[in-house]
Amino acid sequence: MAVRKIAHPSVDDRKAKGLEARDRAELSSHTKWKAAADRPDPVALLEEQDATREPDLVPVRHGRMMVSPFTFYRGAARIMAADLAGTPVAGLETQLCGDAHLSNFGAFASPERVLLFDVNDFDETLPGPFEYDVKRMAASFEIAARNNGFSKADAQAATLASVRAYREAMASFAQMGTMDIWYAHLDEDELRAGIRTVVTGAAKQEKGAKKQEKADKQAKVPKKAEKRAAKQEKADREKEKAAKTAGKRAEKILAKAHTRDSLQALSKLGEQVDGKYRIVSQPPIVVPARDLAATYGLSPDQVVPAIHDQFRAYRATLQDDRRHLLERFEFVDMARKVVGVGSVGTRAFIVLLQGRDARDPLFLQVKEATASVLEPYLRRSRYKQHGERVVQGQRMMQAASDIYLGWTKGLDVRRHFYWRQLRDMKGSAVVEDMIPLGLTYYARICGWTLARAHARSGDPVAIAEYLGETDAFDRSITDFSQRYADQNERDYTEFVNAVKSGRLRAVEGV
Amino acid sequence: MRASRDRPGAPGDRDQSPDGRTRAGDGRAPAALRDLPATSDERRASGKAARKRAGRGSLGSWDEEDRGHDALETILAQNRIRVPELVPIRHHRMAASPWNYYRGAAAVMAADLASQPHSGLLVQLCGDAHVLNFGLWATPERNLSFDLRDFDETLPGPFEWDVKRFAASLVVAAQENRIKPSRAAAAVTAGVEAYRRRMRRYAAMPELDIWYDGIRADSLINYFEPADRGRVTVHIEKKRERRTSRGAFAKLTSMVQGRPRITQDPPVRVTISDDEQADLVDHLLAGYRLTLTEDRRSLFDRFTEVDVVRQVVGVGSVGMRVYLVLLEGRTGADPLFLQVKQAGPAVYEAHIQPSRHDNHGARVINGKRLVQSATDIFVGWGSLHGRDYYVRQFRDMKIIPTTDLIAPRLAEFATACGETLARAHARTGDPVAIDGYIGKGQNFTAAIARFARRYADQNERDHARLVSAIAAGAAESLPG
Repeated sequence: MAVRKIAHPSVDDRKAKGLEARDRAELSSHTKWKAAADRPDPVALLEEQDATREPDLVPVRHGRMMVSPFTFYRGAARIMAADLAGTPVAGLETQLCGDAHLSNFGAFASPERVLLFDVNDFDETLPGPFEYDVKRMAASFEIAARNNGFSKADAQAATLASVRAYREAMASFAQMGTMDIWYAHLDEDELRAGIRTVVTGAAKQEKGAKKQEKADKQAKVPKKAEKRAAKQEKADREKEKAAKTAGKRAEKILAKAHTRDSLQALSKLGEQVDGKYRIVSQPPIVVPARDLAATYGLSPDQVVPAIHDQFRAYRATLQDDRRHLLERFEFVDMARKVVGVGSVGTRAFIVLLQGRDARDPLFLQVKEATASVLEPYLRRSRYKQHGERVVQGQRMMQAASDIYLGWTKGLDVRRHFYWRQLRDMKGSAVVEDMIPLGLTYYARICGWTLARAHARSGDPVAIAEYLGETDAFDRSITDFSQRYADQNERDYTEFVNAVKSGRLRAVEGV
Repeated sequence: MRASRDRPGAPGDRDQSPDGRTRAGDGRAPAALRDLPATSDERRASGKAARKRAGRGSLGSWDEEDRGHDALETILAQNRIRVPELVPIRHHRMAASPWNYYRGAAAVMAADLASQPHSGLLVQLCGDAHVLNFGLWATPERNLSFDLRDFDETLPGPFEWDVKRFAASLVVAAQENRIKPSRAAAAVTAGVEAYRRRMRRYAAMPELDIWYDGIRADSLINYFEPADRGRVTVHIEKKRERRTSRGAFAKLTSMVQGRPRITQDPPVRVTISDDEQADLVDHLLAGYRLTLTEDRRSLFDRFTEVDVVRQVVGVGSVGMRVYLVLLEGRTGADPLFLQVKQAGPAVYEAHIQPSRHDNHGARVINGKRLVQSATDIFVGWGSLHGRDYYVRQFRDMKIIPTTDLIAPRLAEFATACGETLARAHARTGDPVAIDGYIGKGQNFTAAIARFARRYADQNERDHARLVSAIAAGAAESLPG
């Protein structure tokens, strides 16, 4: 047996490594991003991705990306990967999410049934320079803020907050023991407390303003100032009200997450025929197996054994005890189901299983995994199976992961899939509804979460040393984000024009 | 690599599933795709039918004449795979009292249980569910969970074997602490009734809800009388802080030439040679590392092995090779202790069926994962010089009750244990069938209570035999 040889440098060596990294990429080197002269045509990159996807769903993908520059950005990981490839890097590697935009964070149930907030999309995961994730995250805040019609200052504040939270969290992980980093997580109670602090913070500000106004009145201020004060008071009151509403909305999302389980999914996706459940057909979003045979050139009696084979292969990738748990469920039905924005058109299925009786459903999601968009620019994954790449990357980054993660090759063995639970208390923030206060808070928890995810696989001491104690890195990345948001808007326009000119087909509102 | 011989999903592993209702059919067909599982009514009926194999009343019988083996010989036969110089320590510890004997005599009880008819309703057995094998420990998400904690003997087997070993342990432990027989009997009734009630609840619950169910430290406290809750809470908090790798580091290590070393305390902790240490690290731990999931392997790689000592732990397992490994993380003062414990065949294997795992360490770890509601992230297995081992974290906020703490509150504690045992069994067995077998009345509980009393008496006689064998020089004994 090979004896493992793993370097264990001292803390001082690791710090030195972080400082040396500044020679490779100064903190200010992340500013002033400009599109490369030979930048590939963004529309062509999307077309390239479309080539391997389900033809009938490609227009749906385009339609979803057309909604706004923000939805376009969500679908354009491939374009940004090409742009990031030219950016300066410090050479400090971690397991990357690869697509760390703000909507790819969310809440879900842990194996111990606690609602956790974490990164929750790993389709593009790969080891790489930590800046890639930070940049994709930070730019997403700038773009979302613009999309919400925020002022320039508010957009900048949210973006800056995400990077600052990342940097500060990394500094604290640099001080922590190895196991403490591993166990660190953000759960529902902490989230609720955080939301309440933000809301009461806004109320306090308003009260402070009232006091000041009283004092001003006593000092017999001129009428003009009084008017100004009254106006200010009104604005503050509205702000407080907005903060309260936003807080309530956030708590509602958390509460709603608890109701999102397989039973609830069954009420939406299932129907009873002859006393048995099956998945309802809602083309093109949900197409059950019974209607799919033609699409894949299989006869109905070929479909069932094919699914059985897949299921068996999936089972083999589960940990022994979970395999045992899965055996308690039997297969009922499966369907193709469209999800997301960027990944629309990759093969995605849902599988309905049943435990003790029809009231005990379990939905699994089976999603196609192709090469990470980062692979052309970094290196090929060490996993031959892209489904496994996704699952292993997810386990590496998340504080706790779905017990049902697994992977298979498809019927066409060139296609790879990963498996997970479809709805296990999943909840995601409605970014479009957020006010500046809420988006800034959300930016802070995303920044913290990304730092934690990186500290598990990367070296928090070296990264923290590189980031430093000033806000130089934060400002640098914020500048990048603003410029990249501009670029994203240009790309979006080009994309919309490509649809208008007939180069791309799009179906909207699906 | 031995670990890789444990083929996941290999055809055939289905047939040995402890889940009674999935055993039929072609071993190659994935179970989840079989024909509709039996309906609740059919499952309940299969549980009732099991009464024909072993009537509930028969669970209460015990006759020394029919046990079919010699208790002392069974104990001595276990010494074959143990470290010879530690065997006398084992005898000494077991001879200390009937309670200590009981803890060390799982093999005797396994043979005794197997000599009687059983229900055939299979679950993944803990295998050694005596009352002190329930305790608190920190989960992967850092909750404090109340659960079973020793899986050296885990194997699929009839559910009532765990229930019987649990019930009899209450009587024996009560005697040890001079608790009146009537109160011991009340504790047995409370524990078994808790098991029965809980199993009835699981019979109506969705599969995933059963899987995720568990008892946390904060709800454990509610099992106790309000007047006791403060004391129990304080006890838990105190232990929780102390019983961590950092706590163990402060207690068990000293600096030698600038490096932390585990202190010696013969025969409990003894140094082993550098060659032995290197062997353990390069072979056993290197193999163990490969049994970790990839994310945990990368976490393990952040630690370096610093020191290894041989340990003597427990009662029954004294003589099995146990090592304590100190590892250091990458920042200062970042210790991690792993315990490496030799695993032999489960004591039930000779009586029912051999384990489907070809590494005994794998048997223990996979059983542990099936039984516990959440399991230590660092469990794994390996082998060295033809012996199998499993690995786990040492003192990860593990809090093991003491008899003097639980003795005055035996019925309350037994209730928590009974519910936990039901949960463990419902995860792998068929709660509907077991509930059907047990039924509504007091028959089952009364029978188990009768057995517990009789078996506690038998245990006393067996203990006395060991004591006299030692006195006669037939078994060596040495304090340690």
